[in-house]
Amino acid sequence: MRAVITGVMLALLSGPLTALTLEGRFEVGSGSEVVTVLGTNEFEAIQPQLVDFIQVYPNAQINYLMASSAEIASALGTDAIRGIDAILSSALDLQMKAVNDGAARTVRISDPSGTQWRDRLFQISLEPIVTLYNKATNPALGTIKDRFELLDQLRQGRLSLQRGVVLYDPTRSGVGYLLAAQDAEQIDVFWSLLEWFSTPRLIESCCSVDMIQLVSSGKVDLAYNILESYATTELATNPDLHVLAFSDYQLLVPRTAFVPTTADNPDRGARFIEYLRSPRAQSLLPAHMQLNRLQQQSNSPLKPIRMSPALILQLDAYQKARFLRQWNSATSRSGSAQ
Amino acid sequence: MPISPNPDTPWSLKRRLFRQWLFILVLLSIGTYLAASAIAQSVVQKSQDNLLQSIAQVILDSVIQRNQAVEFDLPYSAFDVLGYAAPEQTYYQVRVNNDVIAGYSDLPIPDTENNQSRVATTDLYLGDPVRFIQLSKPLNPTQSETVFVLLGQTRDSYQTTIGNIAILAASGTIIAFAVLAILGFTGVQATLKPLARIQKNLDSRTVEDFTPVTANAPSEINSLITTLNQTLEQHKRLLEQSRSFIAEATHQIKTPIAALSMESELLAKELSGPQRDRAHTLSVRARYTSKLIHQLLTQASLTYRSSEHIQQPTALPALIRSILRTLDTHAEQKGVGFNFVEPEAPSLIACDAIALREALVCLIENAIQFSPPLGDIEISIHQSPTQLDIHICDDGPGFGPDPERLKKAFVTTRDGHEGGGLGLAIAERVAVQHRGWLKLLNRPQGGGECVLSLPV
Repeated sequence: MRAVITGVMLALLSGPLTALTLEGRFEVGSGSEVVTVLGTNEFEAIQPQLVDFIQVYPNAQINYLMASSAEIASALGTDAIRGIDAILSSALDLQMKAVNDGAARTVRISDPSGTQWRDRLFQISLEPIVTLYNKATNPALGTIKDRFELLDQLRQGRLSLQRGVVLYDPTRSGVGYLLAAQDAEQIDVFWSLLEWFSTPRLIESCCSVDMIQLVSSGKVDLAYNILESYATTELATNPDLHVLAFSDYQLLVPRTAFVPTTADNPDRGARFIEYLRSPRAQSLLPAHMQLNRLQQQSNSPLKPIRMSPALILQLDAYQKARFLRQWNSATSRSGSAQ
Repeated sequence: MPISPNPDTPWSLKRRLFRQWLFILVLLSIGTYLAASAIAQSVVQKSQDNLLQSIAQVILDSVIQRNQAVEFDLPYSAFDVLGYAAPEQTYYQVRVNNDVIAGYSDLPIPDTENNQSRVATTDLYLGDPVRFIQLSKPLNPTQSETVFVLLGQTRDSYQTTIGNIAILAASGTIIAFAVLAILGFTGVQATLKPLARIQKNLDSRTVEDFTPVTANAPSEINSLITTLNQTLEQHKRLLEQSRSFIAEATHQIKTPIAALSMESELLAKELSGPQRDRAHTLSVRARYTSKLIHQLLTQASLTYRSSEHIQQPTALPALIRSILRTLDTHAEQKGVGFNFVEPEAPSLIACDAIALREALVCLIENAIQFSPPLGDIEISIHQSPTQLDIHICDDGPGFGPDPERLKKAFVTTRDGHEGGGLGLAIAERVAVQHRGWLKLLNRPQGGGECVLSLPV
């Protein structure tokens, strides 16, 4: 059976969900049991799982609505998300806050484990965070073991990042802020490291693709904290582009899903989430994104960000303003926004 | 028909105990559940309060005032600890007086009476009960501004813990009580067992068995047994008294009646005419009375023997032969013949030989009495593994339509026959004393048949 897939751009949209600013709307399958899913994933990335879901449940039809995590966060609690059966997002802090503030319904999903928070928020995949460098322009980076050594080498002048470093702009990128805040919690030397990154130049960017392009083309020495899934194609095609594998820790952002309290068909939403967590659906993901990575390597440096109410503190306006003050003071030596 | 001691409201001790214990068990379980819930509630509540309070304290301690602005730290790792302790929804708020400067602005603000620096409340927020702790401190000793840190957490997993503790406590109580109940029931069973034994003992007794009841019973029942034995003893004494009176009275009457009988016979020989007939009638009456007195004496002596429980092996054919020899003269006078069918086996039986002899004498005398002249009396013994039957058949008129009636004392078929009317009663009594029975049958070809059955 070949699934019917239709992609329609937002401009052509009509219907009850116009209150949401969508980046795309797609239909998979033609069954009578419609599941409406709102997600941040690019349709191409999640398409294999959606098509397979229709294979498993031939009566189902998936309406996949694509929106930014900020758009989803602001729509929660309003009529805009009425009728959505499952919400998928990689913005863990926003998801956590939504669930903490009662946006999620309690659903029974088999195989409970550490990859869920209560019966409300469920991990569906992992988004590894990597640091990329260009071996052609700065081969010395290949010898670095961890962040402390990187800082030491910079301090002692044995290493210089003359072309500069590119980072997510925490004011414009939600994931960038999340990662920076996690780094600041994780190591004391993060602010010092940021200061050194800013010498001689730090580029703050909004978008993964641009960052990868900068380092791949040799315009900067280092792209710190990049979502690995965006870099896989570039890593495969550019022999100079390498991952700087830190041995102290590597952050992983879990992609999570929940069934909103306002869902029309919470059972279908829960079934969809249950499917996404099943070994069958996981096997359709690239190996580095599969949930069972954490079980296989118990003493690895992999550090998934915990689903904890502490994440809501990072979203606090006061806390964020404080963080950004510190960020600006660390990066003020130099740097420019792109 | 047995008479129930309280026919209106029969009740079972075990059922009543069971009902009472079940009632107590239900009460006790509910009580334990509630008590354990309350205790667990306060303990668990305290631990949640302590956790919330220490984190609120960390935030409050970090509050400083710099350049007219309030600064503080929201500690990520402390909130992480909160999440590790229990995966609960968490809400927080920092405010100066009524101005919220961080966190959730719409949290229910607890009442602060008397400027308490610590307030703990449970309030609804977003539809769920939330435990809130609020700590406060004056921002500056000279100013009227106060900083409040309000920290709240839902209680689902704590509630689950409380429920589990309470259920554990209640099931512990149920198990302990069930063990006690089983022990109690076993105790009741053990107490009732001797009673059942006593009942069985009494049921299996013959009417005249007055030996005291002995049972290995607990002291609580012993007094009942003592009373029972006293009653038995009283009855025994009463019966003995009345019997010895009858025996004594009979004995005292026997001699004058014998003299009367003899004198009336002599008188009849000496007289003639209608006076001679009347004297003869007098003599017959006197002989009848004499016989009755003899039977009364026999009965009295048998009663005495029955309380002795005599059991001796007796060869039945020899006993019957000896009886027939004794009665031969009497039978010959009436022209009646005996036909004793001797069994092949020796027919040994454990019995009171003297009592059995009296019984058989009564039955055979009865047969002689009712046999027509030149009649035949057939005596036979039939033995099976469990019982032994002695059949005595005659050619007489039989026992009439209601043979059972004849077993009663002083009941005879017809007047005019010699006999006290006690013969069949005596025979039946001996049979019963031996745990056997007496059957009176009318033979199809005419005549009567007595069957005395004794268990082997």
